[in-house]
Amino acid sequence: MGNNKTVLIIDDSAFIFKILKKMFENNGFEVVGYAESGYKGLEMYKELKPDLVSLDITMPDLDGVETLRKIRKIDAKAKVIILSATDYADVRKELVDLGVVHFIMKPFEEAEIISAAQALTTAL
Amino acid sequence: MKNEMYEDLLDYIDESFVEVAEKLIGTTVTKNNSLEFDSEKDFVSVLVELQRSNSLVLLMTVEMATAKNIAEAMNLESFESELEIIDYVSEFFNTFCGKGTSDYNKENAFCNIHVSPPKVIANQLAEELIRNEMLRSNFYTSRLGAIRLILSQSRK
Repeated sequence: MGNNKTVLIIDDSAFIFKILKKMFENNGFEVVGYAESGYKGLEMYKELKPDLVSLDITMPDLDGVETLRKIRKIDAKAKVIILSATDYADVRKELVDLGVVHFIMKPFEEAEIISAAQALTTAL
Repeated sequence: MKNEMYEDLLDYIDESFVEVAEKLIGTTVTKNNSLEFDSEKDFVSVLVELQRSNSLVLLMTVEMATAKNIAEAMNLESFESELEIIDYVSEFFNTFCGKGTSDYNKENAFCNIHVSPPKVIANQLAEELIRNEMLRSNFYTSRLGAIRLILSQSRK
């Protein structure tokens, strides 16, 4: 497992965590952490320094946009996939301004997630 | 928000509900507005606020047995924990409300409605909303049980 790319999942749904964990692990990634809130995700990011973050947008305390803004202050080059049930133009613009390339709508397919994850981590 | 606009919004939610139900729980849902819920049964009621919409909320109510069926269809395993069931049902609701409002905003450039994270509310509050503030509701049947979607003003 030592050479596997590591993933932190930040999403307020245990359902999403469960299916993502299975998808990532089936494809050679190692899920090293799960946070059900933006604040917890930030703490875990600092501690775990994962290769990749899977980040939800609509969360109760700190939303995904603000979480990403704070992650960028810790690590400007953080690799992030956005997984969201919503696709609002103003939010998407903020995410693009924050350097997001991979934005995936829920419900998603395994191939979309893994393709984005591989694209972001192969250069590492 | 004018009446014809929220009528239109619920149509978008309705479309995304049908699509997401197929994808996420492998179930065809059919609108059946002649249905009535037995209010004596144990319900799960999940609500999202429609932010920037002049205080509208969307509510989904299902019997606990139906909630369990939905969660198990998403998970492909059986559940015992009520908390897990509610988490799964909330995510299901969040997914089609998010998609429906996103599609609605794209077609209505002057609208920028956002959904809040879903929250479970007490059945008493759900009943009060339905009784006093409801604007429109749709009933659906499916092999997993009956589902009701309600568009309402938020409780003042």
